[in-house]
Amino acid sequence: MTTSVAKGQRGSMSKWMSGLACGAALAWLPGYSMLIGVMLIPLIAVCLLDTSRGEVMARMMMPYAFAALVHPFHMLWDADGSMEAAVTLLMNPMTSVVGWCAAGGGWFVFELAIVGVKLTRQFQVRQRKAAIAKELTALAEEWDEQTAESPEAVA
Amino acid sequence: MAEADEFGQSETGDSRNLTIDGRYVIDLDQKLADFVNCPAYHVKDTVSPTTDVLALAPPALLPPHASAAVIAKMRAPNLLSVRSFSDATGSLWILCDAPPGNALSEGGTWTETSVLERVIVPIASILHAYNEAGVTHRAIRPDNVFDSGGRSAVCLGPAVTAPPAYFQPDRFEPLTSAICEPAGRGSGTIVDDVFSLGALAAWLLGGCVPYRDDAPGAQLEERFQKGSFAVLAGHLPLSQDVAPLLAAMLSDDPAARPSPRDLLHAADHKGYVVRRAAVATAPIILGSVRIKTARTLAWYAARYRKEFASLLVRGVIERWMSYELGMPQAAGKLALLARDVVLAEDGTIASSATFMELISVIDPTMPLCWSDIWFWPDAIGQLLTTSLAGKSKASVDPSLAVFELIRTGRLDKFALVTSVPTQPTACAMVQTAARQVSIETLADIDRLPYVLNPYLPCLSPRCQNERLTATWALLQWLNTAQDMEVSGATALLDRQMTIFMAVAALRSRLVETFSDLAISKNSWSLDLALLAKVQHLYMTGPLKGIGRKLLPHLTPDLKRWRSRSTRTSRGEQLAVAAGEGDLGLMQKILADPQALRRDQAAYNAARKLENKLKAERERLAHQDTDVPQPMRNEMIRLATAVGVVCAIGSLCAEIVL
Repeated sequence: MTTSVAKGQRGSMSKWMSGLACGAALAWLPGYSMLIGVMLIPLIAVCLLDTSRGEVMARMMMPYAFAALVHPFHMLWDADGSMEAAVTLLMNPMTSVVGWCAAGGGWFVFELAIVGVKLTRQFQVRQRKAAIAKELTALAEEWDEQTAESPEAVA
Repeated sequence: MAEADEFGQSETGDSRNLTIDGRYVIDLDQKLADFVNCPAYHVKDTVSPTTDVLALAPPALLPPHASAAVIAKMRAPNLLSVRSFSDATGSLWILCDAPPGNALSEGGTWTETSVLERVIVPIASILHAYNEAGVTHRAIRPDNVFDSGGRSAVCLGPAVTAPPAYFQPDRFEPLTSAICEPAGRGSGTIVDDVFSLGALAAWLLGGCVPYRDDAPGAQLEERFQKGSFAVLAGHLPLSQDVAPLLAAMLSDDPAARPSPRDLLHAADHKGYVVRRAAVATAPIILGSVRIKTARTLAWYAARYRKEFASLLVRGVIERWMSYELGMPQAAGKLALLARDVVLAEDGTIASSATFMELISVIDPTMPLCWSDIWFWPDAIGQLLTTSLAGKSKASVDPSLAVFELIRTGRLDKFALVTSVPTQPTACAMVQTAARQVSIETLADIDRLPYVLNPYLPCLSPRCQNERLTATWALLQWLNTAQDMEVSGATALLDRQMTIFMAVAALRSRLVETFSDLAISKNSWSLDLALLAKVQHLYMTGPLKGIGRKLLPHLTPDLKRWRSRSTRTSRGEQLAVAAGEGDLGLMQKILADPQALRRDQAAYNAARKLENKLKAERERLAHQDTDVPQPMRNEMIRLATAVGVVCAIGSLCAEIVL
């Protein structure tokens, strides 16, 4: 009981600290915050829409989104992180499309791997079934008592 | 005879000619009229072509007596000599000289002197030689005595062409033999031959009246009542010299008959005194019959069993025998036996064994009486042979009677009581033979004739006509005969063939006991086992014909092997062995216990593997192909790692560019 209460307290503390950090970032670095916020919209959407595994998926998609964010971030850094530069960058559709596609790419890589694994497993089962059927047929032919003796064998 | 050269080369030159002893060529196509009731064939003597010889082929059901080989060697003046008595060709052939004249049965005129000089004395001389050799003739009858005419002595035909006394008409047999059916008469004693000689003399002096239409047993009652001499010769006008001679020869008491030596001088009008048997002054009434002698009482006791039992338990028989016949010892024995008598519901004596003992005590010269059948123990072999062939005319099955007799061990009792000297030995031989072939049930009784008579051919209905007396001959016949083509055959051999082979091997001491070679029933596989042993024991060489006949019927035995590949390979090996005629190898291929055990073990392992595979297949059919959660987590970590690599790559590219 004490542990869960402590964990709840730590969670709310973390949320408070995250909220304060976001507030501070919006206050002191509005350009960077806007760029990051827009680029991470797919992750926020996944978190909100997929309640069962949203957090895990978002964590998995994070590096892909980060890979797409490096270049716009660098360009914003070069423009001193101003709000105007951030808006200008975001006004370029390629920036947000590439970022969002990168996040989607992360999701796609995962789903593709899942499908691949499924197909591989199905193939292995089918192959094993065929081998068993072959072995059973060979056993039946060799040991089936009802099989009539071929006349040429003794004639 | 296509494959006769495979083994057991006979003396056969070709299929229709047989060569015996290297000189006698029997022409099987040239069958002659039966000679003394025995099929006869023309023979050519290659050494002496002018000699007239006959080849006699005794039918399978009427083989000569076991001691026939000794009899065949007998040589005496006026005896038709047997030149060869041989089964070297696989079946028994008797070669004897052709008779010098017509048989006496064809009639003629005879005086007392001619009968004495030309019939009685010469035949008595032959019988004397037989007696010295310890054998009997038992075939002295008009159709077996030949007259060449003139003043020469008649010639007596052979004694080995049929079982002893089998073809003797009742009137030429003493009462103790005539009451038995022909197969049950046995070898008897030399005085039985003397009786036959006396009966022949009486018949000749009586004008050679045809006797072929005599009904069997028609004169028995009269002979028992009046005596055989009175019935057979009483009506003849005999001289004072011949009458006592014939009276002695035709005496119903064997002990009262003269020996052959006594008859050698019959022509010298030697005086003969007939010893009268004990006759009661006051007869005993059995049924409606007045009985005066012990012999008559014994015979009628078997016909009037109820009345006899009644008199016996009341002690009437005992007193009558003691006071009227002067037989106190027999009366004493009867009294002892009467104490143990148990009467059946119908008032007769319940026990056949007790009745048999009673009869033997009343007259120890009478044959064995068991369940209404009279027979001599030394005739048991022939009696069973006739019975098993369904030719017995007895009211009771002789097989059953003999089986009961052996099972109860009462032969020994008869041997102790009988006064006929040869019978105790015969009883002992039958008991020994029964033990040798393990007669335990009624069905086993058909083994006994083969042990008792080595000249008994295989009695299988399929080869009976071939008269096969040797195992090798039977194997050769099986190897070449085509009779197996009939549909529905369940085995190659039949019961008679298996018994014949087992007994022959036992007699030849090739096996120690009958069961070493006997099989419980006939089937293709059991027959193969038996024939393989026989092939090995007799070293016959290849039996390709038998192998080919057995092969198609051994498939069910191959199915004992569960492995198809083993079955196929063994089937192929079997076919090769059959082609080579190696029955031993065929048997080894089919009956290999170690291989069968290995096959069974492999079968069990295969069944286990099959069950395991089926279970696995069942499990796979229901297996979920979805990715399990741990793997999914791994894949998330992997995708994350790929993303991290991409991010680092992107960062590096941004720095570099």
